Amino acid sequence: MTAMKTPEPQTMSTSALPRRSLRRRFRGPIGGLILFLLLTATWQWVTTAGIVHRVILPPPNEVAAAFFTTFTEGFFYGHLWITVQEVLIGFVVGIILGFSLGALLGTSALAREISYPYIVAFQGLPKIVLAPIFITAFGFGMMSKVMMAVAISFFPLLINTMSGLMTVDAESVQLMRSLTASKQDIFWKLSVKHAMPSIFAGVKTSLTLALVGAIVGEFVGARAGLGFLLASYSYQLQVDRVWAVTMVLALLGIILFLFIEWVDKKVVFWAKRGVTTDVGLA
Amino acid sequence: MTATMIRTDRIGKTYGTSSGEVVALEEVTLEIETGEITSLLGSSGCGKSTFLNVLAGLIPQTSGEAEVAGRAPRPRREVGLMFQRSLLFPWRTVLENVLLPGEIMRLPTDETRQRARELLDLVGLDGWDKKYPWELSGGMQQRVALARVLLPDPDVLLLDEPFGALDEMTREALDLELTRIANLTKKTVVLVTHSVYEAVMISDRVFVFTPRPGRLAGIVSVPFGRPRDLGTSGTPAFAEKVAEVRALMAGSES
Repeated sequence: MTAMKTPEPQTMSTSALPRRSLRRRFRGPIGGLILFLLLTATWQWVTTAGIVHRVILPPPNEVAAAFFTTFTEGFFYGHLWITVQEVLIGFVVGIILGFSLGALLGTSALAREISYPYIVAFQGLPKIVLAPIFITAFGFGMMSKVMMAVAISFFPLLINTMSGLMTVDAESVQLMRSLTASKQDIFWKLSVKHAMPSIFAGVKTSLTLALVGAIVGEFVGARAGLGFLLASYSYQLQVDRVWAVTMVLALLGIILFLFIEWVDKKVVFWAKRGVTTDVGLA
Repeated sequence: MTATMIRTDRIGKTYGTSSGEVVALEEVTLEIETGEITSLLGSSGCGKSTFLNVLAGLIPQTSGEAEVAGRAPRPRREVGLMFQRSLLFPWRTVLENVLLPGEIMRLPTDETRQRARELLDLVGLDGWDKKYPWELSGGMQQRVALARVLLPDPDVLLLDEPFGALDEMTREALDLELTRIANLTKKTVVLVTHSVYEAVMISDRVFVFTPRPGRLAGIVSVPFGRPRDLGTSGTPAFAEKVAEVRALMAGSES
């Protein structure tokens, strides 16, 4: 067999970075640090100058002290663990539910037609109003918070899964059909893969919302969890502690988000490279 | 000794639209021999792609009978279809893309893998198996698509303007490449194109289609031997064939 002449596969050359691009690379982090110092200085100034009352916002050094004290107290970890469990269980159940319903609606026009009014209604509903009902139904324990996390987090994934599945290229489906693909083959080997970038965008939103759901549930009625702790400190006017727990929650949200972003980059590695491989566009 | 690979008898296709019925294809009757390389040539709207999709079993005809490799058209291993776009999946490497038909048809893994590597070699992409589609040029992507359609070793290749979106130089190279491979692997080829030059260059016979309604206007035999090269296109005989096809296309457009 005489193979045709083709160019050799190339490997990316990693030449030394010139000085300009080094500056370019670090300007973000350095700028961010400067902004952080500026914000902290402003915070310090507005609190010590009495512009904002210390019952609303204590100075940064006091909040920092409360933040570190919080981590030395054993009971804090119990509350943290409760909330983490609620968020993670709610999130996992939420994405399973969201993906399944999204897959059903994305593949069946009949299912879409039947459920469309309900979707619109549920989308318009501020889901946090469900909290009192869920507390009544599932009690003051973890169950009601998990349910809140599920209720609030499954929806973005449902929408993103559905819309991702619906944008599958018709000609790619024809290709699969010409290869004798079954409906299952087309779904798993083409549609789901195609929808992955959209699905993961939904997963990110869902995760953030799962945290919101769990905390709202804890605010409304709970005996444990970071939301409960935050509410308790608030009643006791321990404002530095309120801010400390707020920072812990922010940190928790960031860690969870970064984790999903990392998974996203691993799973949907092709998305940034242009989803299309159409001749002429590549 | 030749056998008939594709046979159609008064194939018709009518689409119902809001403004009434549109006849896409009217009474197309033809026969294609095993191992023949043929083109369906015509301007857009002449129904040539519709006809190809009927042969592929992807859209049902509204009238007439068709037989491809001994059976009524439906997607099957014996018939391979290639599109104008490569339709490679960006989440699969070059090798994984070529292996797709094998997964779907549940072909034995080890043999198929070996065959996929041989095919990549055949289309000139030796050493590119671990690359992703976006790392390849348009011409190379179509070579991968060619290797993919060849994987299940189909008897018939139905090609819907496979190189139509490529630049002329790449298209000519791939046309010759295609005929070389078709010769080597003894495939029956049906190529849809709107390029008279391309049709005459690669085909044993050219089926000329004319639009509104799409119908077969005539058949031109191109009795040049194979393999052909770019020198073939410079001969007076080639120019005569091109003129003959052009006349047929123009004559029925009144």
